[in-house]
Amino acid sequence: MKSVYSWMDERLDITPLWRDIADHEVPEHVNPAHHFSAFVYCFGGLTFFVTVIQILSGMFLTMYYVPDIINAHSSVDYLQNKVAFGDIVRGMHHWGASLVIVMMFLHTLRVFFTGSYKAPREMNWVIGMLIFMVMLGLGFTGYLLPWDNKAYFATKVGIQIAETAPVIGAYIKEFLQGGPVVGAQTLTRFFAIHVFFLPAVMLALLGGHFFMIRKQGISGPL
Amino acid sequence: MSDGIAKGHDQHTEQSNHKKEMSRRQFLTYTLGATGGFLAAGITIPMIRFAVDPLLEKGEATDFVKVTEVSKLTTTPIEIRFQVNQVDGWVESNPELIAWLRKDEAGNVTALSPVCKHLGCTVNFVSTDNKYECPCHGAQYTNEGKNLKVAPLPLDEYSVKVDNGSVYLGQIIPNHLTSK
Amino acid sequence: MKFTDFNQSIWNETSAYYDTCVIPYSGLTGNETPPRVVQLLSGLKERLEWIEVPFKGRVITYPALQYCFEGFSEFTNYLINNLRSVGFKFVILVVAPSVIIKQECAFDLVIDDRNDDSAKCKEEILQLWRKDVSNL
Repeated sequence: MKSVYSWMDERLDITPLWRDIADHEVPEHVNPAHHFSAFVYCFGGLTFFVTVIQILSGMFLTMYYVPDIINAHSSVDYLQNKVAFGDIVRGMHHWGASLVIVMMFLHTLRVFFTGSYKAPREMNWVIGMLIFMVMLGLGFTGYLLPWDNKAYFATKVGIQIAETAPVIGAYIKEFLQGGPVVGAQTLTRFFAIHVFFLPAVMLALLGGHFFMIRKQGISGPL
Repeated sequence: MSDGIAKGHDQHTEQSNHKKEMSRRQFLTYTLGATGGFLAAGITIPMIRFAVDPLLEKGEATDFVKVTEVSKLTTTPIEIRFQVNQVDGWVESNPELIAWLRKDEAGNVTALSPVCKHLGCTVNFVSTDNKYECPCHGAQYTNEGKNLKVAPLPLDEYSVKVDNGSVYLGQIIPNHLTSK
Repeated sequence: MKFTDFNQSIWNETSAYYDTCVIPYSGLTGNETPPRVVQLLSGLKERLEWIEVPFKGRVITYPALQYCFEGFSEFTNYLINNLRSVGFKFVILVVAPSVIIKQECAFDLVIDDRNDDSAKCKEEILQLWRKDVSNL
């Protein structure tokens, strides 16, 4: 291990790269070893941790899942009940989806009550809010994919709510539904949004979020 | 040469001394590494096991189904019905299939599918004429499946495997006997 | 084939080959409990498969007649005449198990409990077709 690393390092000089990312002191007011109440600063990291689990388990789930109205439900049923650890992998994704929202909400509360959104970090608050919305979008689109009754009607109601928006409501509905009813077109659309578009947007936003926190540092003590 | 060996020996004793008194930093590195590794394994092992499940599944459904013994076949085709149990993920099918089996003069086993290439009726072998005949529109085929009348194509074949005196049938393939 | 397998263009191309029409008949009286109905109809389905599979390219299954009713022979005669005018040479009635047809009727062949066997049923149809060839 070590020799492989040094061989690489000799040629590519990779040490400074990760040192730059990893080597920074944890300020005292953020370290739970000094003040136990500082655990509230963990929620951002936990959100990221759960997000990583979501990405991983989601990638594995697509090995079996089929986004098509005939096969979607049977493929989910199959991967959950017939494939080894299927219930665990799907369980991770299912419960993780709720957990990521909870963690993100706690993180937002922490940032709000420590006033960390104030200058010069307003931009990061805005990006954080965008991530929040993307996450909700991921939750909404992912909910339809098992294509069971709950999924179907939840999406129907969700789209009806979106439709009530003034002026653009009808267009949003049409865009989400992809057709006259919640059906085949909606399912493939939601799958594409859930698996490609929103994760890509989310990764870009997360990159910005982390870049800014590195640049500006964590906000000072209260 | 001998110098090098002596050096190596020295290092070895040095290292074993180190092991006895592990530094605080080392201890923390190991503990953190172990905890992190445990967490990562807890997450990734179920996923990997999930992904490789098809590899570890017991290979019960082979492509070929045993239908009969070679010794029971003659140059006159006989009809054999067999079941194929196909489980492809959540898609399961259990079709009953018919094959007409025959051994040619050289001893090669051939199996024809009796689905008429005209409109899909089931043909029968008529031993008095040494031909396959279709009851619907009079299509006729030779005992190798070559189309003589009405039908536009020769009868399809099953891929055949002979192992240890037993005959195994597989997928339906286009007839290649008649093109010779 | 089933009637649902045809559209206009398939029919235009192949109608000459399909000269035999099969009418399924459940003959229910209304006395049957739902599980009994399931049993009868699956028996009928099995009989239909004896014909539909081996004679796929010459036989068309039409929508079924359900329940027994008054004036069976008049109605079926009317039906058979119409089917012949469409071009069917043979009209076969396939009856659900244990249903007995007492009335006279003009079907070329009735498959019921008397020929309740796949081989027998196939043979009867072949005979029907052979008779036609010898008539020519």
